[in-house]
Amino acid sequence: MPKRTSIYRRLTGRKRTLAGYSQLWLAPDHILLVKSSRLVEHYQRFALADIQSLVITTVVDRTPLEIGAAGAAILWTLIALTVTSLFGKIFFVVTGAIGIALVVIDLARGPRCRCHLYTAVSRELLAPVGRVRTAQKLLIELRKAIEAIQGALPADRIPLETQRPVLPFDAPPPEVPQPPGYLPELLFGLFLANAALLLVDIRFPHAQISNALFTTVFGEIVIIIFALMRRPGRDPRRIIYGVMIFSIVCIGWDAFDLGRSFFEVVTEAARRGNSIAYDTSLNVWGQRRALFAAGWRIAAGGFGLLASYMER
Amino acid sequence: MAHAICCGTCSWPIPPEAWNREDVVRCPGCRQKVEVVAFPAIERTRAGPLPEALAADTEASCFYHAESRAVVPCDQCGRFLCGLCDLEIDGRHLCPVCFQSGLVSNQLEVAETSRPMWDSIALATATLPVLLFWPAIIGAPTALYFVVRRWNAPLSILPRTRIRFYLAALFALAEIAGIVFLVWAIVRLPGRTRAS
Repeated sequence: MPKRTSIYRRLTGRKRTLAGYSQLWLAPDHILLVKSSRLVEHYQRFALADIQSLVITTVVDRTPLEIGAAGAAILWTLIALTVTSLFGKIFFVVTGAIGIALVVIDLARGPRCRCHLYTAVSRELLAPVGRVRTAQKLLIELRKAIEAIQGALPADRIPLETQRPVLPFDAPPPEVPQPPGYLPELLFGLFLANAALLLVDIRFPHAQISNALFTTVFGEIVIIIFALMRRPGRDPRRIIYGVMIFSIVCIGWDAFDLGRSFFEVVTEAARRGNSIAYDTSLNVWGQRRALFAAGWRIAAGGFGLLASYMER
Repeated sequence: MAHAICCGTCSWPIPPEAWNREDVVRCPGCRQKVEVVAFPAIERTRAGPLPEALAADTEASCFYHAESRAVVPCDQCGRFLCGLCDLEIDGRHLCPVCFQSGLVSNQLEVAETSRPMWDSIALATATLPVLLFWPAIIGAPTALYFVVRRWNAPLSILPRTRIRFYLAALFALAEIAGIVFLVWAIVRLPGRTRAS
């Protein structure tokens, strides 16, 4: 099978965020803006023939902030001189050095900027272009590619703003509806599953079923965080998010209660002079507390599923 | 309608006098440095061709606009199209319906707006569950399934190797071997608890 060659040439490096990255690529007749969530890539193409302008704007100078951050990192590193333990010295030196290195790298990359690309129907922020140095390199490449197709625009042909029909600059873009997804339903289903695990654990305490809860409860927390982060502009439902907030409080109480129970068991054993092995199961929790944890999960899961169905 | 050329920081409109200048220009609103590079496309007031009205009854009309003159047939379904309905994609003329069906069936790579990265999904399924240990029992076979099922699925439209698929398969097989060994070890352990 002949090896497939790509028509794309890389224009910028990856602009990385916690949720993914974005990058610019150049094809013979268009620019490709790739936005990746690591598991899915989203593509936006801008035909070179349709690009009206590129606008590069410097942003507010952050040098004072960077100097302050460097000073704070140095002070943090100097704490190593005041502590006596070897672990403490290594901890403060390593974390402080990382902080200083981040500030130095940021300074070395030069001033920041924003780059916008205009077509007749869109104004797109090119997120991968965040530094003036990158923007200048990009401009040289793109100018060559665009002018090869469109030609250059002489100064005497620049249209006066008054002659161009324009949108007001503060006109909000039309909203693009996004599906709300099924993350809340998944969460409420997990509540019910965890409640079932708790009840099984109460009935069969030696089966070690509750060990799975350390993972699934962590899953609950992760899903709640993701659901709350994804909500703005996507999911107009309200009641289910109220249930989620209630769940956070209950999960916090469960964690506190479990920690307190464990501490009580350990101190009681110490008072009696017994040595106890660390027990990862929920046996230290007691039946009453486990019933509470199962009860609120059944209530939140059932009510949440019902509310998400009614509100959808 | 075109967008006004605005400052990227404060959204203040940048006047045409400040476009395509060699010297440093500052935004009238926030005083930040702005560089506007305009191209001839900015002179265009509309983006696409307008349909032409039928001049005579003998002329072919657009399938979707009976009052407009057909200029080209759809390369997919053969329907006659006016200038408004004609979508030229990668040298082919398509009607909006064929364009939409091509998008849905992922046959138009040049118009594709998103693509799942099955190799990254397989790798994530193989590696992330291990962090919580027991979900690897489900994660490893699932990763293997993705590797086998999606091996020939198109990857990114950008240059990309199959190294993630190989790694996912390697991790998944290692995890499955580890799980099998663990089960074997538990079964074969001297029955201290059973004996007691």
